[in-house]
Amino acid sequence: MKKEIAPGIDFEHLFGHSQAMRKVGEVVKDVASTDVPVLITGSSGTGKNLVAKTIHINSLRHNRPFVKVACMNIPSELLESELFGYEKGAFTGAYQSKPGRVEFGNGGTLFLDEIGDIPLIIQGKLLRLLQEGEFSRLGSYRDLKVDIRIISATNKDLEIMVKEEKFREDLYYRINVVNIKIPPLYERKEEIPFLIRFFQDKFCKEYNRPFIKISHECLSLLRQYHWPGNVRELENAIKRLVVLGEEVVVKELRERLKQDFETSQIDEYNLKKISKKASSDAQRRVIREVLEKVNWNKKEAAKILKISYKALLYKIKELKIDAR
Amino acid sequence: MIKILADGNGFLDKETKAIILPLFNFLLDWEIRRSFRYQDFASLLILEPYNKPRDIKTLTELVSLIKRNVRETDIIGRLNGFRFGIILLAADLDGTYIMASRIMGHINNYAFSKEPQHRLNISIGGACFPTNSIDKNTLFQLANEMLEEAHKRGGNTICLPHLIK
Repeated sequence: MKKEIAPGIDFEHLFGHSQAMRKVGEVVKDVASTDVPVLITGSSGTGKNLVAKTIHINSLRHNRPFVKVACMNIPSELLESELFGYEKGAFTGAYQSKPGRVEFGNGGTLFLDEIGDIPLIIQGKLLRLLQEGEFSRLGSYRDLKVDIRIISATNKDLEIMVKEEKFREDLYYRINVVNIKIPPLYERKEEIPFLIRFFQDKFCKEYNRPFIKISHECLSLLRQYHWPGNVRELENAIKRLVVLGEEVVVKELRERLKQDFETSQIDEYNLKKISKKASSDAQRRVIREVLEKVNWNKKEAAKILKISYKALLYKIKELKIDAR
Repeated sequence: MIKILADGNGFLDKETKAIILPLFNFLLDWEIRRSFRYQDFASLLILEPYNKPRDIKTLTELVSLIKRNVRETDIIGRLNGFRFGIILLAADLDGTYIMASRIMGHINNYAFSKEPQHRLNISIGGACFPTNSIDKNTLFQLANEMLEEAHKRGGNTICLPHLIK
């Protein structure tokens, strides 16, 4: 698992810095060597692409192509011809036949990013591809056979889409043989220092800027913020930090944290409730952080937190802290 | 262009003026990469006379005959002995079949200057990128298998994977 997934990123970089990602890494290791369809879920910017690439390069098809189709970037009218290709004369402007991405992925892996954006008509064709490994180009009578592994990713809840009849149920069960859920960045905050270092190093090299030590204040703000845009948002913040300097990012983060605090307070004026909520939120965060640092060794965590082992068990139960 | 470059560097077969095998292999690999990048087809045809020609000049004429029937951008190479390869750029299976039949028809009806009484029968096998394979070696292997199949069927036959099935 030492192969490079993207420039400067290997398996250890991606899955070795938090308990939550280590668990994802174990599933990735298990499924990589098989041919089962995988559905990667998680909010935008969590690294679904990288996980798909990891599965491919650790599979038996690693020396075959990894064809990525970003379904949200292709208009639904064009998606069918892009995926399956077309024959000459299939529609106005089809002056010559064109192979689809599926053909180019023959023997390798087809990665369907944002599969939830695929229209229902194409879903039927995709189902046939998954079931029989067969498809036909647009405007063709001839069936073509391919040997392809399908990895899909989405940030939408496909189960809800199935209930709303926006996604085919049979296709959902076909693509969802193994589901890998990538946790959002706020659930794996222990990765943040590593990610900061990694991106800082990357952008310093890219923009030829000197590597500056980030202040404690900035680091603590970067850790406190909940990063709704996940790793992608953090990456852009570090890019700004490298290019424009630390002050800009500090100012920005302070404002955002202030806004977050204000919006969370608006609907609740009961002081007792607010303080209880804030206290339990803070406790939950700290306990989780410590537990993850010590690999969920509760005895050691209790020592660090300076409470008894029994009290820690009680807190874990009361605050509903579970190992992800 | 390729011919001019190849000629100056000794990459042309002296007898037939077709490209020699190492350069043909390199160009096939190159064209496959290019077709992958531009999402296009590329086909490989392998052709061999079923009844062997009696004079080497007939082979030279055969190559010039093939050249007349393919596009200027298509690549013709001598693989070994009497076996020739043609890389047809941007040609899918249907286009490849049309091209192969045109070559075969012309050769069948052509009176070769050194042996005018002797009509040449040829067998043609082929495979298409990416429809049949996206890997150069597999494509080569498949085209060779198709050629053997064409020989088995008695020559003067075109065999492409979708036609065999």
